[in-house]
Amino acid sequence: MNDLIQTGKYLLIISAIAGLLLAFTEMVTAPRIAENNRLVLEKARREVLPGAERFDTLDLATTDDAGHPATRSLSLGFDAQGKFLGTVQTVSPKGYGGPIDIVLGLKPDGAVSGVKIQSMRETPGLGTKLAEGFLDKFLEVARAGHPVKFFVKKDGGDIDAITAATISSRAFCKGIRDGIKVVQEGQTLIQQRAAAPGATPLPGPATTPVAPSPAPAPAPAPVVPPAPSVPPAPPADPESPPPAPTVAPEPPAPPLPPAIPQGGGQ
Amino acid sequence: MSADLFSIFIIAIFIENFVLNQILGICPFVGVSNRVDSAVGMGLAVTFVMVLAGVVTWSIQNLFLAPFHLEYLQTLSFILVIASLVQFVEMVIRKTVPSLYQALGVYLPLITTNCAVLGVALLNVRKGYGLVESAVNSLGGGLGFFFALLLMAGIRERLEVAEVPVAMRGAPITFITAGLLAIAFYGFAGLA
Amino acid sequence: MNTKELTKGIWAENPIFVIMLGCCPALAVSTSLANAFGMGIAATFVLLGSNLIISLIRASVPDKIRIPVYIVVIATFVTMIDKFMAAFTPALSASLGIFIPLIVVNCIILGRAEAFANKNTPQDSILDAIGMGLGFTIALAMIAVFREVLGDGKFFGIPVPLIKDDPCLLMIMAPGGFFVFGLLMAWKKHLAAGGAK
Repeated sequence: MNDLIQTGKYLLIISAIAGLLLAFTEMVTAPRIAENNRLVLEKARREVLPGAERFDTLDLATTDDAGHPATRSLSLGFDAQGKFLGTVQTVSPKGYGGPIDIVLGLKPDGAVSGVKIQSMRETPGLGTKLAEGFLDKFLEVARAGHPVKFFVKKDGGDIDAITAATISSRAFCKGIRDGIKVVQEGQTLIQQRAAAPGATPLPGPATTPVAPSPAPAPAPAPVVPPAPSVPPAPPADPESPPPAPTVAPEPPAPPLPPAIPQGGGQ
Repeated sequence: MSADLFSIFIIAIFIENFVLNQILGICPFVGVSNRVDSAVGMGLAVTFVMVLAGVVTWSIQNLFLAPFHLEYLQTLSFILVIASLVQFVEMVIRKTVPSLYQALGVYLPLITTNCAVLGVALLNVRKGYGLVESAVNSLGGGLGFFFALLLMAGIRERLEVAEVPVAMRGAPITFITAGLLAIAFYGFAGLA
Repeated sequence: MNTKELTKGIWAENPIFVIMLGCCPALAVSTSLANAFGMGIAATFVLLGSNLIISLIRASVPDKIRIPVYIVVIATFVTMIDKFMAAFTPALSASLGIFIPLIVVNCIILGRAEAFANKNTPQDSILDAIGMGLGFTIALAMIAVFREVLGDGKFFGIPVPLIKDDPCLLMIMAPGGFFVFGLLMAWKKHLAAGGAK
């Protein structure tokens, strides 16, 4: 019995020392780790939304793939004069080896201003090529064309998939579409927030949902010539009536272009 | 929801197979895969401990560490919990089902240092899984380990009668075989 | 100064190729030389700390709770290096991922605690830790050289001419790790057999 108390005491002392050491380590490192994470995020935000100096956060209600309600945190970027430049968000589509975290910047008109891959567990080298040539090519296509169909070419879209990494490429496109959808759904709220902090009002009435590129073009119909500054307001999203509270989760099925067989998932 | 759980399960077994894809738990994989019956024993024991560990570590993380901001004690507490869990399981099995203990007994102590067990606990937390998802992921992970071990044991029993170059005998040829198996497992990639 | 304790870990008792302990990180993080050295340094730090502390307290640890005490000591050092790497080398820490906390179950560490530090003086234990840590790092780097050059077309992140445009991706995926490891082990075995004759 004495023996037991002795061992117990010993374990207690050892654990206490260990706990103290670790608490000390935590104290020293935690601020730096938080700072690292913040810097990484900050850098990524500025990279995908060139010119932005200040960011506001806005939480939007949306739905995940399974139709469950979810929140997406958006950053609204403003330049030094307080002009609204667009939104930044992190989308995490499921790639080949788990989620790919993509930081996506969208201009107010819904066009892609920049993308950056934050972290992923794709097969190193294979899916990782996403980070190299693919991104440049992607941006070229995304910036050039209106409206861009964010699907790999195999699925009838405009994006060149990486050879031998179709799953990663599809996941990437899906992430972009998801991000655009969130902004589309939250358009009214975003516009309000964008206008609120003394920003110059945006082109276009705030209530008109600006439909970005991949909005359902029911057929490979001829592209509507882009209106000045406002994007080709193509078949205005039928299921987001202008004043509707963007919080209402929208049924996931209809907004997908019919051209896509498996929705670019896995 | 159930579809999610199912896909977590399938991914854990086939696509993110601990041994062949995540490269966790290699030591027991090479050490205990020389005979089919020992592979079955080890596989069962690991699966069992893994599910238990997945559930218990999830509870510790979410009921104790996270609320009190003690995440820095994660590694320490997880490994201690796994070690005591293994001891506890060993004791319970010995007292209650001696026949099972006879079959599994030798493998149990080895599980503490099987990095797949701690690996599953850490991955559950990093992926933000809930309790049920953690349990399913752990079960899938354990079964995946079991499956890989069983396949390997079956192959190695045949390798024994094959003519392998002297330097390649034993561990080296086992690793080459594992590499080939891992390539085969990439075929499951599109499954989920 | 007992140099034998230092050098044995590097070749004759190399923890990876000969004793075959700690294979998981050897295979999992040997995709690039930077990862290999990062992992090697982290593991060496833990090994040094745990060997030193355990050899210091070995006389006073009640035998019954020897292993749990070792685990607490090791886990403490692992968490420390984990946090410090996240704070000061965030990129490396991100690419090593859960393999840093998994050093805790790396058989080398507990193995050396039980087989060596438990029975030897602090001085010898430190030498043993440095030797084993070096051996581990060298083994990792050997695997990583093949995998990074062949699989990614790079050497320490610098593109290698001829290979850089069309590397054999398989080599940095899991199967490549198994292959390189198996072949290197066979080579080591072959040398050892030749030397014995």
